Amino acid sequence: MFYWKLLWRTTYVSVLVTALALLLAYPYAYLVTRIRSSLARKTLIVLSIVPFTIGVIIRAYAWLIVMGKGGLLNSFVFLITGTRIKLMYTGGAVIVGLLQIMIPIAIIEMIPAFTAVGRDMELAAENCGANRFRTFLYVLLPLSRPGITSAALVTFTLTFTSYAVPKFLGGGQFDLIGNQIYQQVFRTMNWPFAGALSLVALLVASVLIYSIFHFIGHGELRM
Amino acid sequence: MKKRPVIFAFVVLDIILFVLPTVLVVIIAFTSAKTITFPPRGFSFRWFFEVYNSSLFRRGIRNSLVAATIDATLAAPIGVLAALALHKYTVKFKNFFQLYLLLPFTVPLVISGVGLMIIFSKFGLIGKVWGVGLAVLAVDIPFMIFAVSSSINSLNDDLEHAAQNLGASEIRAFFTVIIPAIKPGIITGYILMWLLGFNEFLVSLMVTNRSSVTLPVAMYTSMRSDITPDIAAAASLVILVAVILILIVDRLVGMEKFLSV
Repeated sequence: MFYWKLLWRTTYVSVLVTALALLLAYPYAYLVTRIRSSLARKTLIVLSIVPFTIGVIIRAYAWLIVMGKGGLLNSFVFLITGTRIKLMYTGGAVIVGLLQIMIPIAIIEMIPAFTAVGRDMELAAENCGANRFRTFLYVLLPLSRPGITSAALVTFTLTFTSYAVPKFLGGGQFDLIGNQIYQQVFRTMNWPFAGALSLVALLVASVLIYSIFHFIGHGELRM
Repeated sequence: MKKRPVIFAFVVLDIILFVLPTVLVVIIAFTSAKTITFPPRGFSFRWFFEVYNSSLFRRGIRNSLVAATIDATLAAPIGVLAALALHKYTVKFKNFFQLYLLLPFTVPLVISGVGLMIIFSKFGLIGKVWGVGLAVLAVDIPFMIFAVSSSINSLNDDLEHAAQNLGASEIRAFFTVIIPAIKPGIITGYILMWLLGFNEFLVSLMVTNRSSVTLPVAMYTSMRSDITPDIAAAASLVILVAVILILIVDRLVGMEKFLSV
């Protein structure tokens, strides 16, 4: 029962984080490839790459400062309502923390796809009378599919196997399968069981990755 | 921009997510209070001195510097040769090797970490700082290969043929033509590997002990006992180094080129 719940939680968190990361990364990657000012483009790129390189511990600590009991958000809440709310050690905290790690990766995966589509394609569609929404739906979205696929794959695998974010932002209340594997190896010392859990995790992840390929289409892994 | 409110809204949200936590860490690092409060009280450099005086953080910084340098320095030749071999020659089991090189990316860090820990304890490598360098090299090497591959893919094969026509041996052509031509990829890969090696947490947690502790593990240890601003001070130093290195990559290579914008 416990392990079914764990597997289910890991799966839905991974699907949710992947979907949200794609949604949030798509416009950003689009803007990076279309913005005219070179300085603005460089700024956007640096802003997304720096969090990617500073490591997971610093970011977990940073979220403690934002969402902790005496943190930024709670100070605002306290000013307004006079009480504090629980933000840390919840599912929401884990999802926000994971998103912040996955969005830059998704952006890096998507940028080459948008470069490959080219502005001309969109202009051609608009010349043919398509409005912005139809251009997006019938031209941009289908042509950028390889980028979406690879971003979905990488985001999904990394979320499914994450350890540090659920550990620090979930505080044991919102463990994912990676935490349980770690637990089995280092606390319970049940190595065969840890091995079995790893294989089940790989199996479930493979099925879901196959469905990403199947439903979104082929992409290519990069970075 | 103004004509596209939806894109604008999403991008602003992204930027808040990227920037807000990082900036707060830097602000907290300069507080003079003993605890983390908002708004932060006072201004001082005391937490930077605490980091400097803490033997744990000092050891962590030193070990991370060593591990990251070993990691990146070994990754460069491996990445160049592997990427070049896959591009240039008909390697037997090419698909297998390509998949194999992607493995560190798809196998959970927890699992590869445990595997490395078992191997390392068999060979008595736990506690060796250069061992940490090897461990992070093993899990991060795909990044180097990808960085070099993107340069190699845009390389014109005629360049090498021209060099050989002029009488250069394959080795000589490699050093005088190919290496300079793919330098952007090597620089990007080197710096990326260095940063990832410096900041790798989970794998170094498993293969270090008290004496070989790296900076992320030191922060983790200190976070477990008490959440004080000294971690913010150490983190600010890392953020500063990361920003400087990314700007150097941009100067030397151009971030746009790296991401093929």
